[in-house]
Amino acid sequence: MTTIQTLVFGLVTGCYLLVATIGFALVSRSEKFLNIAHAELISTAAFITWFLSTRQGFPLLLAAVLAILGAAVLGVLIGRVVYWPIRGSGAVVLLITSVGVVYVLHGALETVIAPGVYTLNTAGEGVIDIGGIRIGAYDLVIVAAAAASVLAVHALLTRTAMGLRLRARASDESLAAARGVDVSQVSTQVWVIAGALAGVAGVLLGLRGALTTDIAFDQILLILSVSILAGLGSLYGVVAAALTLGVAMEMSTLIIPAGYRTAIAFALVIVVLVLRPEGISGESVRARAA
Amino acid sequence: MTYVLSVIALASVFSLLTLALNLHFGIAGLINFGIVAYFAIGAYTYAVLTQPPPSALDKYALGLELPSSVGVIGGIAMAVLFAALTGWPCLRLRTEYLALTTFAFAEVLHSVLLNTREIGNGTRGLSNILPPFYTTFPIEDYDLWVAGLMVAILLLATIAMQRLARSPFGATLRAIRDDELAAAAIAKPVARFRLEAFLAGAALAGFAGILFAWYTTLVSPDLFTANITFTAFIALVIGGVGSNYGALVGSFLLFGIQEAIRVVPLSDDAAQLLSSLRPVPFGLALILILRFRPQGLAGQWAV
Amino acid sequence: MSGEVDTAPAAAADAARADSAGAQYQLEATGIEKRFGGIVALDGAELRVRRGTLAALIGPNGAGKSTLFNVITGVEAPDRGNVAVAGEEITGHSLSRVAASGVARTFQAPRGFASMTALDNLMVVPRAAGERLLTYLGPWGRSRRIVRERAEEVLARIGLQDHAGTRYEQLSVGQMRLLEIGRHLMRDVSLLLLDEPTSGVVPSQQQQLGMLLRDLRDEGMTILVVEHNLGFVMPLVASVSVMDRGRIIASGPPAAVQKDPTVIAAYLGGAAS
Repeated sequence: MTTIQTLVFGLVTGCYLLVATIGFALVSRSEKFLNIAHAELISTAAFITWFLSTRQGFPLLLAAVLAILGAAVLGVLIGRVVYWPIRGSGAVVLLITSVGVVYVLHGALETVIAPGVYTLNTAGEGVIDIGGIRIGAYDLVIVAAAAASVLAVHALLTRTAMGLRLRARASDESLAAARGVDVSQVSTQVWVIAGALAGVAGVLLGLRGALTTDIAFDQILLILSVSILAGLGSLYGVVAAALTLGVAMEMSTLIIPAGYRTAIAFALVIVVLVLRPEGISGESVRARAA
Repeated sequence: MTYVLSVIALASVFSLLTLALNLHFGIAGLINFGIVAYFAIGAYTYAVLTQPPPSALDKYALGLELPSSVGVIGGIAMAVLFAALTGWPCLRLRTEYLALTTFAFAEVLHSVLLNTREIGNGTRGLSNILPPFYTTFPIEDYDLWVAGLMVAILLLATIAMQRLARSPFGATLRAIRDDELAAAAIAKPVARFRLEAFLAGAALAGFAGILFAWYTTLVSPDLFTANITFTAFIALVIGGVGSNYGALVGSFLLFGIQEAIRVVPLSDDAAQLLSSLRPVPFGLALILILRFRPQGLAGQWAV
Repeated sequence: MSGEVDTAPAAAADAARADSAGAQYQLEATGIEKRFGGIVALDGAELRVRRGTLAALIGPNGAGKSTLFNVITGVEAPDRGNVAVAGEEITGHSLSRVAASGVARTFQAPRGFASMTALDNLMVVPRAAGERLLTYLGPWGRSRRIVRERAEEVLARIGLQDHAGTRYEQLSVGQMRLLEIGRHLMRDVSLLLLDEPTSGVVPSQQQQLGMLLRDLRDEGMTILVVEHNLGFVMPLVASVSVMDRGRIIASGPPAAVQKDPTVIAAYLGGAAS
């Protein structure tokens, strides 16, 4: 496996990480807490895709679209029913509540879909050879999806009222309400978009490889790593961070046994948090007193 | 009967862990999402120190066959050392970041235990641990004695933690938790207090790990996952964050329900289904309590 | 421009000597510069407060008064400049270290320990037996009784004796502010820095506060008050420093400062609140 090939794999991985994390980052920025359950949405969407396409015979594209819709609906449902009522309780309570949501979603998923390993029918995937570098057709889909997601999010951030509110740094609820922005509506929109992005990530996850019912745990580790690298609350930093981490993880397999890959991601996280907790973006993070 | 005793013993050990979490989170306000790490280190260190040297089939490198007491002291010491080394970068950070770094360290540890055969024998783990007082406790009632030992230790630990909570040390920790800036403004060395609470909790968690190793006579990476940390959080929230009694109530309740379900005779498929379903009521309980009764069943202070 | 503080004509002679002997000033902040990104918050601010006097720091919104407080007390580190308390340099020290040097500060929004009663808020302050990890198992009953008595005295002094058992969150803003000061009375302080102590406080409690501050000053405490409420602060203090856009633009007795044209211009032309 040449270095270039590994680099390319790393970029593809990075593209997936980008899609997986950008929804999480949106929620983190808008609702001001870390929604650990985001990864469960991703895995739910992955399994909806799997179920519809392999068990119900739907065409893959249709299954994917339905999965994305399903994730968006589920996301906004949870966002409004569970998180919105306690939005004033502080980031800690919301964080721990999201752990509860993880438990509920994961339990439900594992009950419906027995523990095991599952794959989408990706037989017949074409492989393209560019000057000795091999890229699967689905890898290109991942890259395309990442590019589309970035463009979509960018458009939303720059052209909508919701985007305006999200971009404002020192935004607190009373201030935004005074400016005539319906905070509740913005929140709903964010949940829908984040859910849809999680849905896309779920589809991509299925395209990347085998699925297990536990896969969400690994995914949230990676999402957290990317987010911290980018700087929690940063949106544009996610692009650089995702690609960097993807490449780092894949390249590290050239030197270190693959089992340590997640440990590498986390070691990087620790280093970043110790040396530059603000990540790539720079928002203040340290406790203030002594 | 043996089964009930084993549930009591396990719930007692788990309660120790939840007490430690209460010190970190309930009293000192530190979100430690990686508390399972100290639990694991206590257990593994005890195993390495007290187990016989590796036979031809084992992949682990070290077995010192030292007496139990050395194992206990060593286990606690290693947990505290790990907390000291990893706590220092974590404790300076704000809430979510503290949660993430502690979580990160626990995952790195898990990965190392899983992948480095020399230390922990990989997935097979270390299974040559001698149960405690095997020669002193009468063999016929061994389970009763072990359960009794665990409960006794739990009672002692609870008394110690209660005293801590009521002492000026506990009061200062709560003040720092409530408002760090105001605490600093009255000249409290905030960082030092946080570190002390962190190390004390780590010691207790490490000790709980040792007892866990005594009980199961086996340590393997599967036993020490993030699930343990989050289950402790659920137990603490249900029981009442900040309350030592809450920690006990939550732990025993969780364990009791868990085991009560297991006892119900079911077909294999149904049992599998129930096991998969189990996290759901726990997750729901967590969400509902945080929303409608944040102080938990036994607590007085909301998170 | 430096903000020297004179209490009476007789002190003028002292002032001449005082410039070289820093001990006359309980607080000396010199050449403080602080930027946040591109914004200059403090632009060479100089402030001196003589020991045992009541002084005020006023200025339009956004002048940098709270930032200066934050720099003096170690919540922020200055880009340039020095801060000294009773002649000892404290520049860049953390808040708890500055506090340990005898500096007490209150905050713009009153801060306190929400899970405790008013009495507990006071009792937690002194360094007591059983306060550290290695000693909490030991005896601390007697030491706690002594602390409790002291806390009850302070509570009475600040007029909250009827609220000893009231939970902190149920106190009014004025009571919270008094409690904040009370906390500092539980320990050794020589310099009290108050950040807008009358904000959100009813007039009767403002009076109470004024009397308390005068009593403390008579007992030798040095007090510096940041205030917007000129009606409260002008009759109270012996000297006023005026801040605008990160620097001190005038200082002296209240009457003189109020008529100073530079001051009037700053208030009229300054940022609207």
